[in-house]
Amino acid sequence: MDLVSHDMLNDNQAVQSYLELILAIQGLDSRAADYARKAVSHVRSSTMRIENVKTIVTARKASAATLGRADLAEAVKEACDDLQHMFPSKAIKAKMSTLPEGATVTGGGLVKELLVTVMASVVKLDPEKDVQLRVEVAEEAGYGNRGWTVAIEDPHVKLPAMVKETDIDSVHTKDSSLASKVSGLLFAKMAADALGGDFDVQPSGDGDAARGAIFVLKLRRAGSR
Amino acid sequence: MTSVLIVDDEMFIVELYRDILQLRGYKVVGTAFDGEEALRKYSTTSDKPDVIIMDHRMPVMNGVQATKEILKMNPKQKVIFVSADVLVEKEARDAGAIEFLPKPFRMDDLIDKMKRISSS
Repeated sequence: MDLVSHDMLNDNQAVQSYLELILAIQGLDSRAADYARKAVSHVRSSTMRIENVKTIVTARKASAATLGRADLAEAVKEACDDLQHMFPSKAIKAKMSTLPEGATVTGGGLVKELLVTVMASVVKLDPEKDVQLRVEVAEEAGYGNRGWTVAIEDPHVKLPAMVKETDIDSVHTKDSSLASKVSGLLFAKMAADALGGDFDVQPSGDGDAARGAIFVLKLRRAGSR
Repeated sequence: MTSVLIVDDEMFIVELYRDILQLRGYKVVGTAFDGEEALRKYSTTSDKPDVIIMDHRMPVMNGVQATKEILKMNPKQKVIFVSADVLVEKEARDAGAIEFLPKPFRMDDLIDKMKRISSS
């Protein structure tokens, strides 16, 4: 898996970069540029899925010491920056609460990837062109004081009804076609568990028509047990 | 003009870096396909590159080892580590890499890092 994913990432690197080189051509036809931008977006999405699989494998077998630690504020900022590049056809605004300095969590480079995946999943589930996210980072007192939470709220996200009615980690057992639409959220749950944290989705309302939800990621404080 | 040595075992990745860097006005002065070849080329050239772009997972000698050896020869050498293995970042920085870029990266991210370390 490790070797295959490494090669796939190299291939995606080449495809993405050549598309970026095409986009850098002066006077490029606007339709060609639009197609190239869409292709870049899909390559990035494909890359994210490959990295997700790698992460699950890595996080499950690595110790906290091997995984290293991540500065949570920095990871949140970088994830927000990355997000806009992934969805060139959407206007994404992420309003962040004051990010705490010195908040370190277990997971090293995997933390940013986890955040990007959750945010990208939220954006994909939001049918609006203008996406407004509210990101709050806080100490998690009810978590044995062992960690930090990152709460990502989107008032317009449209969750499939099954996600509202079922725990996120058992959605795939109910309907695999639906599960594929929320695979990023499934990944987030598995990866957060593997890093000693948790992930949960709190819908704002019941039923298919209700929109809005808060996506809560709990991460273990670096050095805690 | 900033000069660059590219070290990566994948020919198409080496070509890709060359295409990007040349387009943005950098001078690619050499390429190597593993750490040992990089060491050999580095030690025998009198005109050292300003920057080395270093992969990690390569046959014969990996990027971390090659970075350590190169920095023994020249502690001021600037190395940008580029790898699909995000977990190797700490090892790479401990070995002396001045920047770490996870693959796949955006072209602008590579150029930003090149500019930053060229002007430092």
